[in-house]
Amino acid sequence: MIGILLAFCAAVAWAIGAILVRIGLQHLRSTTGTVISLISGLIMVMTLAVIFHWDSIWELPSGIFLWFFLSGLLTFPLGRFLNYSAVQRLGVGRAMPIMGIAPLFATLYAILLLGEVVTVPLILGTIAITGGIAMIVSAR
Amino acid sequence: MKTVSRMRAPFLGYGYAIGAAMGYGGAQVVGKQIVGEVPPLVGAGFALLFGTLFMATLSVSDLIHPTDAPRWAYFTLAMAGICSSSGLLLLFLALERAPVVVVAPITGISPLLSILLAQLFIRDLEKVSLRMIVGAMLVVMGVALVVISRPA
Repeated sequence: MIGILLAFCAAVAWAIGAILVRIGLQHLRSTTGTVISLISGLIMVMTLAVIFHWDSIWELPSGIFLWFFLSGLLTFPLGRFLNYSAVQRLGVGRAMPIMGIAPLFATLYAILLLGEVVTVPLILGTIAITGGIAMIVSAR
Repeated sequence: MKTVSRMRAPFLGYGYAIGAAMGYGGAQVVGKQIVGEVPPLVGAGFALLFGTLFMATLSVSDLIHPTDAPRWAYFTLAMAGICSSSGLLLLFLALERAPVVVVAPITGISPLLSILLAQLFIRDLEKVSLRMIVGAMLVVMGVALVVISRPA
């Protein structure tokens, strides 16, 4: 039950974040907005990481930093910057559902790169996503 | 020319949204490699550090030249960053207590909550139609199906 509550709180936090982005980007470029949001997030997450995992930070294997770099590159300059640019142009109502299809891309990458299999729920899910996006795009 | 740019603008927005989804999707695959080796909080912290450095380099001219934007706009975006990071931390905590097939469909309702909040608080900025809400619900259901179709 706690897990479900925490997951719901995560969804609420992201939704509030999207509304704040929409409001703030009326006056700022999406590049500037992305950097400001990253700095505030970095301060918060790094502070908690230092408090709770101080020893782990000093014992990190050197090879992991390439993965950190790749993750940072995909999530922020690509993911978040394009996210903010989309919210600025389309608004929250159109941009957020489309960006919500990230798990579909993760699954496609896993099929293409890791050899995962295509299943019936995946096909049904893809059809539902495509139909949903078509409705959003065609909405006035 | 103005007509062309107006026509292009929404399609560019959709391109950005799909590009963001592709980036986040790729990050989920890469994240699996990291989470197995280090605590999620440390992984998120260093990914944020590299992302911030990269974005700051790209937008250095914007940061150097001051704009006439009100201070509350900067504050709002700083709070948006706190919300995004809080969401990530709550997701990690949720995943420690419940399986991904339970957690992912719940976090997937975030777009619907965004639409609801937009209707409540920024109705003058956002026009939301019934068609958009139904479309968003279809996307959320589809994403839930995709997530449960994957092996744990």
